[in-house]
Formats: sequence, C-alpha cells, structure tokens
Amino acid sequence: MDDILVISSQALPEERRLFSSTLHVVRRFVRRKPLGALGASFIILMFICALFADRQVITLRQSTAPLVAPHYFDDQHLRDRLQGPSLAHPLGTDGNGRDQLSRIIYGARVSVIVGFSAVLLAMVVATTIGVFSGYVGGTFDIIVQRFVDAWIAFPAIVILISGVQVAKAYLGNSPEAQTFAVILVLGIVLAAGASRVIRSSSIAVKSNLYVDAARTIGATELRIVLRYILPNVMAVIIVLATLQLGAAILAEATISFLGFGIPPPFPSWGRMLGPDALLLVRRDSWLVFFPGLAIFVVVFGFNVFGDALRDVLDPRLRGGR
Amino acid sequence: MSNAYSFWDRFTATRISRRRALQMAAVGSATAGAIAVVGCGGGGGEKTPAPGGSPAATAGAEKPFLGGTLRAALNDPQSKFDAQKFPTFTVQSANSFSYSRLLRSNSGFDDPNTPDIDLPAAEWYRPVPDLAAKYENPDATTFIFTLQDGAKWHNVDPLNGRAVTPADVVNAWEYYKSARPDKGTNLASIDSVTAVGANQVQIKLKQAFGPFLVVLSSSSDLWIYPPELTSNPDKLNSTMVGTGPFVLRSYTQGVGAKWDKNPDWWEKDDQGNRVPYVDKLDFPVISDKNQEFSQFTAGKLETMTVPGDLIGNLKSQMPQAHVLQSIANLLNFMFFPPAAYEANEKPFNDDRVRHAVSLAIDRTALIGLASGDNGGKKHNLINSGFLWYLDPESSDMGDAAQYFKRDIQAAKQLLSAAGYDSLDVDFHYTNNAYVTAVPYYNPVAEAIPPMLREAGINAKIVTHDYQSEWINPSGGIFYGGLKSGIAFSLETPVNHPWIQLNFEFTPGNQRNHSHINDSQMIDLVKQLGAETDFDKGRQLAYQIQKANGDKMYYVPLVGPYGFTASQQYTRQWAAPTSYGIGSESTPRFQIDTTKQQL
Amino acid sequence: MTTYILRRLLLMIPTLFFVTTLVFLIPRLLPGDVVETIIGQYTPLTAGDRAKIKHDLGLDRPWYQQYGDFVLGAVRGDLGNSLQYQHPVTKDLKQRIPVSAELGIMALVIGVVIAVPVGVLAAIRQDSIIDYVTRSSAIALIAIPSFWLGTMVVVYPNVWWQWALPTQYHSFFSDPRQNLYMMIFPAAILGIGLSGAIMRLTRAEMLEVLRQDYVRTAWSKGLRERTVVLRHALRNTLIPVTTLIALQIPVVVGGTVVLEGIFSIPGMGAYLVTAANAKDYPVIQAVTLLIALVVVFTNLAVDVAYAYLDPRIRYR
Repeated sequence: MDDILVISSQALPEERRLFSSTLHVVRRFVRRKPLGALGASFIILMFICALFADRQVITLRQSTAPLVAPHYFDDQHLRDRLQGPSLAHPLGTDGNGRDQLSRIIYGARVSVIVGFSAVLLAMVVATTIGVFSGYVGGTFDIIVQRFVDAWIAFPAIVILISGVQVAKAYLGNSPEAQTFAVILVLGIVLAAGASRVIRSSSIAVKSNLYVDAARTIGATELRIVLRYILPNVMAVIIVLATLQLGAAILAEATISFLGFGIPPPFPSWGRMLGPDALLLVRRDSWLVFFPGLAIFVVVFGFNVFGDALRDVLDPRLRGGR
Repeated sequence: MSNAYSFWDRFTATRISRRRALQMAAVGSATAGAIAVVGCGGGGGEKTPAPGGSPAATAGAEKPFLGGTLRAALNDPQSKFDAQKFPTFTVQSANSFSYSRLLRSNSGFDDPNTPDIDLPAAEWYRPVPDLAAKYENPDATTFIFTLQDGAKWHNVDPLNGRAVTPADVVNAWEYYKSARPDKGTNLASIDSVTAVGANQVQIKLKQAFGPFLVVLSSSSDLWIYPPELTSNPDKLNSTMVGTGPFVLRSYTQGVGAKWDKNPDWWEKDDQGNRVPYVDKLDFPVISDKNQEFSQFTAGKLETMTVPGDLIGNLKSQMPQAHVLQSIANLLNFMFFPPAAYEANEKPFNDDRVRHAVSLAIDRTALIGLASGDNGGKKHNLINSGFLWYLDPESSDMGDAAQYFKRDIQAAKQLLSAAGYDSLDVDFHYTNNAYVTAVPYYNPVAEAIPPMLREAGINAKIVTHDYQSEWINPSGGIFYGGLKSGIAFSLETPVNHPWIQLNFEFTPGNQRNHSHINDSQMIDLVKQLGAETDFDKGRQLAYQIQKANGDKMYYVPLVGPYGFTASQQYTRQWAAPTSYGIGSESTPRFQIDTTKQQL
Repeated sequence: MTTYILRRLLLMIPTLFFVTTLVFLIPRLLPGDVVETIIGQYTPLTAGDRAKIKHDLGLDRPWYQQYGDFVLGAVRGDLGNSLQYQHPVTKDLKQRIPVSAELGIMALVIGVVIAVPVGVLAAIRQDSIIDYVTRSSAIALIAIPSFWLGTMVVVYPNVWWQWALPTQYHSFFSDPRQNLYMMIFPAAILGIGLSGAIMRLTRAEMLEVLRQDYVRTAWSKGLRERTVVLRHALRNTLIPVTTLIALQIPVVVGGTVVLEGIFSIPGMGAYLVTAANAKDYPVIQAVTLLIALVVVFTNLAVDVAYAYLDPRIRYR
C-alpha cells in the first residue's frame, strides 16, 4: 500500500506546499478509506457541537448566548413537557420541558470533556508504564506486569463505582468534583489494557538496530526512550487513543445510565437514556432514540476512524492485538 | 369513655350509609373492616403489592370471588424481616402479610370515580381490630385489649399452630423497646404492658396521649412477633411466622416471595365469609418499571402502580382495566441547615429568604411534572393525602397563604429587603434512592433549581448517595447533617400527623432535620399529643400548619395524583395504602379465577 | 511444556496478591473513620452495637492481620458476611454464580456462532459487499449500548403484541424451558455485542493466514475452497480468536448488570453493583477476588492452549 505520507516534491513555496500537501493527504485518505472518512466526519460534527454549543467554549456554567444549541441545556418549560418533534423543538422536549436537541448538543461537550480527559490521562499513564516496563525489562518488567495483570483482572465496575466513591470523599459532592472523579476513574480503567499494547510495541521497537546504535554513541537510557522509543510507539498510541475514545464514551454512558456517572444538571447522553426516559419510551420513544443514536454515531465514528488510522499508519497492526 | 369511635365518628356520619353507621357503633366489632376500604393514600406511589378493599356494603349481597393467585411486584425486603431492627418500608410491608398488630389501620382514599367504595379522609388511618378483637378504655391512661378468640400462630416451625397468649404480646413489646434504633419514641407514652387473664393485655400510659391508638395501629411500630423468634434474632430476620392473614412459603432475595392464605385468620366479611379470598400470593421482584408494565399488560400481574405519564398508554392498551386515582400520603419538601437556627447563620436565618424560596416555586407546574399532567394538590406541612390536611391557599392559613403561590417579583423584593441581590446556594438531594419507588422525585429535583434561579437564587445541584450521605444515622443530611444550602427530601410516612410533627419540631429528635427549637411549635405539638377530641385536634393541626407557613421552617411542595391499575377480572383492588397493606386490603382482593391466566 | 505451565502458575501468585491488596485498600482509602462510614449506614449504633460489629468485621485488628484473615478465610471458603444482608457471602454466590455462568456461556456461544462464520466469510470475500457490510456491522454492534437494546426488546413487542417475558427466574435444572426462554434474550443481546469484536479479529486473522505459504500450497494442490478454509486455515485463525474470547469473560462476568436489571436475572452483575453502591465491602472483596481468579485462570488456560497449539511460543 502506498505510503500516503510521502509528500509530492514539486517546487512550491513553503506554506502552499504544506497546505496542499495536507489537502492531498486528506483527499487520499478519503479515497482510500471512505469508511474512516465517514467516521472522521462524525467526529468533526461532534467537535463542532462540543465547542460551539455556546460562546463559552468548554465549560458548562450558565451562558446567555447559545450558538449551535438553540437553548441552554437547563432551560425548562414545564408546560411544554414531552412534546414531539416540531419546528420549535426539532427533537422534541423531555420530561422536564427541556429542548432535546440542545441537550444532545451540550451532551457532546460533556462527552468530549469526559472522554478526552479520561483518554488523555489513560494514555499518559499507560505510556509511562508500558514504555518503561517494556524497555527496562527483566524483573522490573515481570513485577510490573503482574500488577498490570491484577489491574486488568479487577472488575471495571468495581473500580468505577468504588473509585468514584473514594474520589468524591476527597473532592466533595459538587457536580464538577463528581465529573472529575468519573474522568479519573475512567482513565484508570482504560489505562490497564492500553499499557499492555504499548509495552509490546516498545519491546518490538527496542529490538531495532538503531536503538543499539544510539547506545553505542553514548546516549543515556532516558534519551533513548524519549527520542527513539517514544516517537516510534506514537503510532500505536494514537490509534489506541482513538479507539479508547469510543470505549470511554460508551463506558461513561453506561455508568451514567446506572446512576453513578456524570451528575445532573450536566446533560450526559447516557443519563438521558436513563430510567426517567426509559419509563416514557412507550409513548415518547424519541427521548430514547436520539441520545442512543448520538452515542452510537460517535462510538461508531471513533472506531472506524481508529481502524482506518491503524491501517494507514502501520499496516502491520491490522491483524489486531 | 369506652367508645373510642367517637374520636372518628364525627366525620363519617354524613357520608356513610345507615347500614355502615350501625356496624361502626359496635365497639371492636370484627366487621369494622367492613367499612369500604379502598386502599391508597399510602406510602407514595412505589410498587407495593396491590391489595384490595373490603366488600362494598352498598353493593348488596354479591358473592365474592374465591381463590386464585394474586401476582404483583414485590418490594424486596433484602433478606430482612425484622422491622424493629430495620424499620424500612420494605420490611414493614413484608411483615404486614404474615404478622399482626394489636390494631391495624383502616387505610383509604377519596376517589371521585368510585363513590361506592369510597372512604372519606376522616376514615383514613382509623384504627380497627387486628389481633385485639376489642378493647376497653376505663380511664384516660388505661386500655385493656381482648385478643381474638382462638387466635393461633401459623402452623409452621417453630410455632406449629399453637395458641396466642397475652405473654406473647408482652414479649413483643419488650422486643420493640430493646431492638428499635430510637428505642421506640413513638410509643414512649406507654408505661407498662401486662398480661391479664387468659386472653387480655393491659396497657397503661404515663399520661393521656390522643394519638395513642393510631400509633399502636401503625405499620411502623408494634408488630407482634413470637417469643420463639425474638429470642433468636437471626431467625427472626430470616423468616416470618406470625398471626397474619398469609403464611410465608418461600422467599428468595432478588427473585420473589410466595405466601399461602392462613385458613385460621379471624377476619370475616359482611356475609361471614373468611378472608383472605385469594389462595396464594406470588410476588416476583421486578426491578424495572417497563418490565412491570409489560407483565401487567400481558396478564401476568393482577395489579401495579402506574406512573402518571403512562396512564394514557395503559388505558389505550387495556381499556378494560380498573384504574384508581389517589394522592399518596407522602410529603415532599425542602428544609434548611440547622446552622441557620442554631448559629444564626446566613442566609436562611432570615425568614424573608425562606419565604422567597417558597415564592419562587411554581407548584402548579411541579404538579404537572410529578403526575404526568394528571393533576394533584399543593401540599401543606401535613401532606394533601393525609388527615387534617389544610389547603395552603385556604383562609385558615391567613397571611401565610400568599407564600404558596408563585410570585417572582415578590420573591425578589423579599430577597433585597433581606439584603441580597442574588444568592449562591447549593441544592441538595439524593439521586439514587427513589428511582423506582418514587419516580417523580428526581425530575422534580432537577426542575426546582431553574425556578429558584428566576428569583435570583442561584441554586447549584449537589447530589448525594442515599445510604451513606442521606440517611446515615450518624451525620446524614436527613438526620440533621445539612451543612449549608437547601435540601429537597421526602418525609417518613406516618399514620398520624402528630408522629410527623413531633419528630419535626422536638429538639433533640433524630428526625428534626433542621434542629428547630421554636417554643410556639413545641407547645402546639405537645397540645396536639394530649388532645383526644377530634375537632380540637384538627384545629391544632391547622394552627401548626399556619405557623409553619408563617415561619417557613419546612417548605411543603406538591401532592400529585398517582394511579393503581388492576386487571378487569379482579375486584376490590386497591391502591397501596400504608405499609400495612398485607393485613389491611390484600385480604379482600378478589380474583375471578375463570378469567385469570396463570 | 510443564515448565511453561509451572512458570505461569507461579506468576499468578503476585497477580492475585495485588488484586486482593487493591480491593482491600479501597475502603481504607476513604477518609475518616472507616468504621463509622461503613457500619454507620447499616445499623443503629449504640456503643455496644458498634463494638460488636467492628469486632465481627475484624476492623479492630491491625490491617495486616485483617488481610491475613481474609486470605486464609478465602482459601478455606469463608468469604465473610455481607453487611447488607447479614449472612455469608458464599450463600449468595452459590445462587448467583450459576446464573451468570449460564448467561455468559450462552452469550459467548451465540457471539461465536454469529461472529466466526461471518468473519471467515468476510475474509474470503474480501472487499466485496459482504465484507463491507460485515465490517460496518461489526463496529456498529460494538457501538450500540446494550441497555438501550434491552429496553427496546422489553418494550416494543409488548406494545405491538402484548408479549412479555416471565420474571421469575428458575434454574436450568428445575425448569429448563422457562430458564432458556428467559435467558435467551439477554444472552443474545450480550452475544451480539461480543460478536462485533470477534468478527473483526476473525476476519483479520483469516486474511493473515490466507496469505501464508502453506495455504498457497493447499490451493495449488487443487483443493476446494471449503477444504482449504476449514481444514487448513481455520485452525490457525482460531488461535488468537480464542484469546479474544477468553478476554471477553471479565466483561461477561461483571458487566451484565444492566441486562440483569432489565430482564430480572438474579446474576452476579446486579449483586456486585448493589454491593459496590452500598459499600458492602465483604461482598465487594469476595466477588472481586472471584472474578479476578476467573480471569487469571482463563488467561492461563488460553495461554497454555496457545502454547500447545503453537510450539514457537513455549520457548519465548
């Protein structure tokens, strides 16, 4: 398969070359991996909703100027509750008379904040553990891997619930604290398996000749890790991160559905699917359909995009594990 | 005075037929239960098993349907059957099928759609005979209860059908005192319980206590457990062998429970038929309301409580099903931190701020939300499904009535008069307690902060775990642990308003949520406790509600209509009543077995 | 071979040690007096009660002693008493493990039965419509939340046809028909969710294997496609797939709480979640240990099977 990162060597000015080469890359990607491109477009849509729901780009405090979202997520009109899709409310209103479309758009922001933070945390932790364990090897590796085994064998649901309880005990009960607790705990759960993958990758990279070469010219171990191992493991990390995002969003939806996740008033898609809406599904099925669709679209998007990215960045990874 | 029914008669005379009035006059007559009891007004819309009412005396001598298996969702008592050690509503309702009290409640409700089997508000919670067939009241502090003739324990190990003795009752009382977490403050007025002769029990009070009989008949207090079980608390907690209308056959946590009818139970209907009418109870544990609804519409349950939002669906899917409408005896309300009263801490030390909070609430809209747009009433401190409820907008409330209407302008004015342009407060509630039992609680909790915000009170939601942060006896928010902000809660359901008002206003009481120490309230509550005249009691109750409106210690919210549905082949279905339904209305539930599909 | 097995077994010990330590730590990470927090919410507290419960829970001894007691107890089969229900945890486990085991096995079987043939088909018809549809469905299936699907199954057939599943669980041995009837739906939903990942891996592995020399030899011998795929390629494809299946087991064991709630299945998921929510630490400890054991042993079994099937691995 062509290496799509090869840049055409026409004699163009620097910026134009960069721009056209980026465009080139994108076009090639779309052509070769249409499914991945579709996934990417879902992701971009999600980002637009998350960033531009209102003028305050990333926080969830009250704002007076919703942009993409027609209403604020807490804007309730109890006398208009449970109305079907209409011009005023394209996706209807929920049990508390809040505009469903706006809540889904704001929900994207919640998912982005929680998902991205959790995955970022997970990747940082997983990379540190995976690279060091893989690179150092020996007894250190054996012991650390036993710990990772334990981590993986630990039931995620216990980490999620008990972890949030412990975190809340220290951080307090405010919705921000609870959200932070959820991020922390999701990150911990995701890091476990990821560290394994990164470790195998580090081991593979470690055996390369250039690593030995670097050692002979006197590079310190730390420098080798940072300058040689890490960049070559990056492809794996990126693909992993993309796939983990889908998992993080689904995990957050599940625990919010169970009542342990993102607390009210923040609109989490999982909680929007929760017991309050499910009770009404017989008569107002749109309440459950659209948040479910949102979760599905986003998770689907991240997964296909991650797959496509994997195929593109390193065909050898295509086989899985 | 030996006829305790005069306590309650006054309200009933106009509404009840002559036949019923005659029956009522017979003190302690076993037909007291023949007053049409149609359940409900009970513990708040949760899925308690459906019970039935007594045969409508006005319907003539209709032969009741006999036999059949009643199926309804079980409120899982989580492997606990000792209601003294674990006084939660699930354990109490489980007990109510197998155990008896000396007296029990005549719970009922008022449904304009069913005047035949109607029970006016005054009849609610009236004590009627249970294990005690009748009683005498020679002086204000002495009661002598005569046990039912031939009363026997269930024919199951370790009791094996032996006769009930007065010593059993005395023992049950001793156990109550020792095992209760609060050592039984509701019955603190009891001085002694002694056995008299072969079948009588004498209870002496320390001083006259108006609500005594009602508290005695409450499902949250004196269940009569046998000595063979109380001497072995583990056994007591793992099985139920009592004198109640049903004998427990099996229980598996998370799966369900089954009972057979007790052939030796003493109650009979008007025509002399023994009750219970049904042969068996089969209550599965169904944790999901949608599942329950599906089961009911598929004919696999005889009855269920239906959330207001689903009534439309039910009526269109099953137009023949019986549907009862009622208001639950369940107070939802807001309260303020103890520090506001004890340490004069701002901002809720100022009653203007507390009034502003009440003024900001759009109760009509909340009623719509909580009832699925089926209507309801505004609560007062005594809730709208309860005895002596005073409509908060009526004239007896005086000036306080204005605080129960939504008025944002007035709220803002009060706030600035108190010196605040805006307030930043935390709004506390527990989001994992009532999801299935009281489905409207969470949506209402989410609906209140935006309302407060309109008045300039920036309420920020803070959710709490029910077990560890809300009802934890040491420091839970419900038990006086609220540090700051506003708390939104459900009140413990009780059988007599005095019980609730007593714990809400007595300093040092565990359930005095805000540590209120107001001499006027304390005095009124004490008077209510000593008052044996019904009308005077009602007046006192009205005064208390007005005083609370004036000071707004507790902010009452709304009483939405709730619904119970039953299959068309059933009769005397009833909405869940108090937690004593097992002995109160279930025995009179009737199933036409020719139409039941098991 | 035996050295390989022994070495792996030895390595399991520190893993289990870490698991038990971690789960042991959780309640002790809570600030404040752990006793107050845990038992305060369960029982009314007189000083006498408090002391008794503290003693029963072993909380009045130093933590290393508690840990030792727990481990020794676990080995003997005594996993402590549930705080919520005041009876031995093992009593509940005896009821719930078979239920979850049955659900898990059914789900895995359904998942594999769907995923493997479809994955193989997609591989041998690579880049065709079938392949595309398969790959998209596989990802789609992973993305659908199981609780959403479960509710749809409970609600819509009832709305359209008045149909409802039974809610009283009977064990397979007491009433096989009712049991299977109740279990098939949550098992199918679970299985379909699992099949997505299995499908993808099967396809990827099959593609890999089909490129191998020995397969090319088989083709050149003139064998039919069916023989080549089933007799030669499938065996090697299934090796990593088995690993993946084994890795789904923790999901199946602890992650079914939602479906259990919707379908009234009294399994381990709901039990564990209720306990975690209620801070019933004896239960949490016992179940976590159990799940970890299952996972670790399954991994061991899979690795051993792997080593048996692929001799190259033994010598790593």
